[in-house]
Amino acid sequence: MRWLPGLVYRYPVWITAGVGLLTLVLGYFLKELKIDAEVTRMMPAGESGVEVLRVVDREFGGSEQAIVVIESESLFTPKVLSGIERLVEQLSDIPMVNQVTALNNLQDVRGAGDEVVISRLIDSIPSTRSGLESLRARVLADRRYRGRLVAQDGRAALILIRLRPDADRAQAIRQIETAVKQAHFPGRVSLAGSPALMEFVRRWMVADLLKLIPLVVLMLVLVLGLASRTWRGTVLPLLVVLVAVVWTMGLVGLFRQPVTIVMVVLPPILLAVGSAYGIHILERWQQESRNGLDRREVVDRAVGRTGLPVFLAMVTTAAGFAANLVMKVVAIRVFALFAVIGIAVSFVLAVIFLPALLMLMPVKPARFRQENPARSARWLGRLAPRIIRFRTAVLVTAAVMCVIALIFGTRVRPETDFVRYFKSGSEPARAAEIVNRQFGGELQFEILVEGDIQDPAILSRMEKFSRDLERVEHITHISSIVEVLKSTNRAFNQNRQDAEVLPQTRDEVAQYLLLLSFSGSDYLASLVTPDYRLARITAQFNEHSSAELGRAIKEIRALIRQDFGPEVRVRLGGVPLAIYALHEGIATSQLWSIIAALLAVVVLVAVMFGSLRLGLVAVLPVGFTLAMAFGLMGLCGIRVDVVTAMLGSIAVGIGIDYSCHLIARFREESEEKDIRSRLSRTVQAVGPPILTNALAVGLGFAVLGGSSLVIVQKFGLLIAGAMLFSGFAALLLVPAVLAGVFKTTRGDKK
Amino acid sequence: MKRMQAITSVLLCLSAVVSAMSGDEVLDRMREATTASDRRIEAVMRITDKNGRVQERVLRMVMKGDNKLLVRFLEPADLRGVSFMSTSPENMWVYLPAQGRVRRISGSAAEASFGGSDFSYKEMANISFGSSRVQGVPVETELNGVRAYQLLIDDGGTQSRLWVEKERYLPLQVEQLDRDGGVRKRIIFAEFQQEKGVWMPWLIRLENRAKGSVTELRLRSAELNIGIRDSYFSEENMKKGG
Repeated sequence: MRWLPGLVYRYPVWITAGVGLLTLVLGYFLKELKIDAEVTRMMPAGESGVEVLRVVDREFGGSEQAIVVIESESLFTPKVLSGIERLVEQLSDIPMVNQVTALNNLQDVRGAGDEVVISRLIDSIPSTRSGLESLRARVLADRRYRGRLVAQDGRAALILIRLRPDADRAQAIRQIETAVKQAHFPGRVSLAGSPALMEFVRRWMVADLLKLIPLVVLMLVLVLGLASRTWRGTVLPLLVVLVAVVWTMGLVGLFRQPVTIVMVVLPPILLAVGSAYGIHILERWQQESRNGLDRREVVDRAVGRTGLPVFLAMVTTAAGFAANLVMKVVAIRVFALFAVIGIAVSFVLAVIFLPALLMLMPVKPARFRQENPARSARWLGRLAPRIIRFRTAVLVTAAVMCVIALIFGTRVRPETDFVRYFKSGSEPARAAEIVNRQFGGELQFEILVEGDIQDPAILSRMEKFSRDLERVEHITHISSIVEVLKSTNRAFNQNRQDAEVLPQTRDEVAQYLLLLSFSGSDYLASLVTPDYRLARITAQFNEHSSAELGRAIKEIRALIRQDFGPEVRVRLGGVPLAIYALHEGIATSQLWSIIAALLAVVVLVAVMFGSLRLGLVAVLPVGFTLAMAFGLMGLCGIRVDVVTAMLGSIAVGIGIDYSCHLIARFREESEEKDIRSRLSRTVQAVGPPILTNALAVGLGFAVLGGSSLVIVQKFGLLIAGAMLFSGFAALLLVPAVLAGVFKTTRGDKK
Repeated sequence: MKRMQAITSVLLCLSAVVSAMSGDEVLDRMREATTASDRRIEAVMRITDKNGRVQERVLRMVMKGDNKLLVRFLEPADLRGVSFMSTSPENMWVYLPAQGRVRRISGSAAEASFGGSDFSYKEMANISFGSSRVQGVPVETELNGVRAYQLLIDDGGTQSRLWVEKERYLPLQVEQLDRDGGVRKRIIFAEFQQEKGVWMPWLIRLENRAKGSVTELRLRSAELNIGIRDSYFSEENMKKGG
C-alpha cells in the first residue's frame, strides 16, 4: 500500500477523470437492470421441482394461474353474473392468456336420462328469481364447483386465468387489472395467484428502490453532517459511495443478472457500509491537516496508515458477504458476489478517489472542525479506564446475556412463505387469504404420471393415489383425468351414482376420452396430453407455511412410492416445491454461512495483525451481537427468510470492522506502555469514527424498515440494531479483553 | 363461418368466370361447383399438436344435405366402431361400442373439437355456407399465384376471409378471424378432383393459430351422389357402422 499515497498525490486529476468516465460507462448499464421477483428462480432448477413446471408449460399449456377474486353479497344476480361473463370475454381476448375458467364458461358433462348433456354450466343467465335460486342451489350442491369456483357461502367467486408459458407476466397482469377495472363490479374484486403475487412483489421492489435509496442518502447526509459538521465531511464520503453503487449496479446490469428481492437491498447496504471507508479516511485527513502537516504527509498518513485498517475492514466485510456464497439459494449467491464487488469498489474509491478529490480542493483548515479532541472522544477516553476496572463484570454480563440470547435463538425457524412478503391486511395478503380459506388454496402441487394413461391399471393407481392424497393435511382439491372419466361414466349411465367409477377396459377409457373431446378440449388438454402418454394431477394446498409444505411434500413422496411403485414414472413439482427448496436451502446453509464468515474474519484478522489472539478478540463483539440478534428473533418469533438468512454473515462482516479499527489503533499506540493510557488513547482516537460509522450504517439499514415488503423491513431493522449494538459491543468488550490479555505485556508484537 | 371450414369444401362447385360479380354470386358459384346431394368418404385424419406429436385416425363419413352426417371411426383399434351422428345441429348421437349404447348428446358439443382435432363437429357436419352472408364486394387478388376472389364472410357474428379460385370457383382458403381481426384458424383446400361433375378437395389442412396445432384430413376414397336415403341416419346404422 506504500505506492498508493504517491499515486494519489501525483495524479489526482487523472484519477478523478478516470472515475468520472467509468461511472458514465457503468451508469449506462443501469438501464439493463431487470427486477425479478420469481420465487422459482431463486433455487437451482434441479432442486426445486421447477423442471416439472416447465413440462406443464410445454405439455399442458401453462402452469401459471392468476386468480380474480370477486366478493359480492349478491353473486347470483343477473348484474354480477353478466359482469363475470363480460369479464371472462375480455380476459379471453388478452393474447397472453391461454385459458379462462369461470362459472359461466365452465363445460359441464352430465347425464339426463338417456341423454348426455354437454354444455356450459350456465348456458344463459336466468332472469327470474326462481331461476337464479335454482342455479345457486345447483352450483353450491356440486362439489366440482363449490369451494373451487364459488365459496361455500356463495358470496365469493373466482375467475381462473391460465397464462401462456411465454407470457410477459407484468404486462399480462396489467392487462388483467385493466379488464377488471373496466368491469365495474358492484362488489370487491382483487387479484391473487402466484403470477399476480410475484408481480405485486416486483412492483413493490421497484417502489422500494425508488423510495429507499433517497432515504438512505438523506440519512447519511444527516449522520455525516452531524458528525463532521463540514460539507466536505458530508458530501465527499456520500459521493464516493454513490459512485460505488452506480458501478456495482451497472455491473449487475452489464452481466444481465436479475434484481431479485435479495438484490434489492444491495444499494442501501452499499450506501450504508461503503460510507464507512470514506469516513475513516476523511477523519484521518482532517486530523492530520489540523496537525499542520503538509499535503504529501497528509496523503501518506490518511491513505497509507488509515488505508490499512480500512483495507482490513473491507476485506473482513467482504468475507462476511462472501460467506453467503456457501448458501444453496442462487439469488443469495448472486447477491453475495455483487456485494463483495461493491464493497471492494467502495474501498478502492475511498482510498483513491476521495483523497484525489481532497487533493483538488483548496486547503481551508479553518473550515474543518476545530474541536480537539471532540466531546465524544473525551467522553470515550474517560470510559476506557472504567471498562478496564470493571472488565470482569463487563465480560461476565456479556457471557450471561449470550447464554440467555442463545436459548431464545434456538427457537428461530426458517420461513419462505412469500405471502409473508406483504403486510398483513394488504390487498395481496387479503386476496391470498380468501383463496386459501374459501377456495382450497392458491398453491398447487403438480404430479406428472407417465405411461399408457388409457390403461385402467394406471388409472386405478391414480385413483388410489388421489384418495390417499386427500388425507394429506392442507391438501384440498385434487384434479385429474380420473374424476373426469368417472363423471363421464356416470353421465353416460343415466347419471346413476353407482356408475361414478372408473371404466374397466382400455377401450371404454379411450372412447370416453374421445367423447370428452366434445366437452371443451382445453380442460381435457390441461389434464392429459393428446397422445395419452402423460397425465397431470393437481392438488391445491391451503397453507403457505414452509414447515407445513415440507411435511406435505414428504407425505406426497411417500404416497407416490406406495401407490405407483417403481414401474410407473411419477414426478412431483410445482411452486410449493420451489418454496420448500428455498426453505431447505436456507435451513441447511445459513449456519454454514455464519461459521464461514466467523472463520474467515478470525483468519484474516489473525493474519493481518500476526496474532491469533487478536483474531479471536476481534470476533468476540460480533459473536455477542449475533447471539443477541438471534435471541431477539427467537423472542419476537421472527422467522429466517431469504433476506434475513444473510443477517448473520453480514453482521459478522460489518461488525468486525469496529474491532479491527480498535485493534489497529491499539497496536499503533504501542509506544504507550501503560495499558490504561494506551486503551484510553485508542478508544479516544477511533471511538468517535466507530460510533459515527455504526450510527451511519445502523441508520442506513434502519431505512430499510420503510420498505413496503415485510422481509426487507425485518432485515433492515434487525441489522440496524445489530450494527449499533456491534459498535457499542466493540467499544466495551475489546478494551475489556485487551486489558486482560495485555495486562502484563509491555507492548505488542509489531 | 365455421360451417364452411370443413368438409364443406369437399362439395363445392365451379363455373364460368364473370367479371364484376357480387359476393353472393361468387358464393353461389362455389356452392354449385362443390355441392353433391350425398357422399361417402373415407379419410385419414392426422392431428399434429404444438409439440409435434402426431395422432392418426381413420374415419368413414356419410353425409347427406347440409346437416345429416354419420361418422364412424375405423382406426385406431380402441376407437373402432365409435360413431357420431347428427340429423340437424340440435340432434346429435354417439355410439360407444365399449358401452354398447347409443346416447343422445345435447348442449354445446357441436361447437367443441371433433375427436381431439381442430375441426368442430359443426365444421365436420356442414357442407355449405348455409346462412353465411357476404360483406362488401369481392376483391380480385392472387393466392399463391392463383387468381382468386377474396370475400369477407359473416356467419352469425363470426367473420372470416374466403379465397375462391377465379377460374373454377373452388374454395382455396378460409381464415377465421378473431374479434381483433387476427387469424384464429386457417383452412387450406387442395388437391381438387372432379367426381360426377362435383369438385372435391382431397386434402384439407386446418391450422389452429391459437393452439399451435394442425389437422389434416386426407381422403382415401370418395363416392358422390350415390342415393343415400334419410333412413340411413339411424341408431341401428350407428351400431352396425353404416
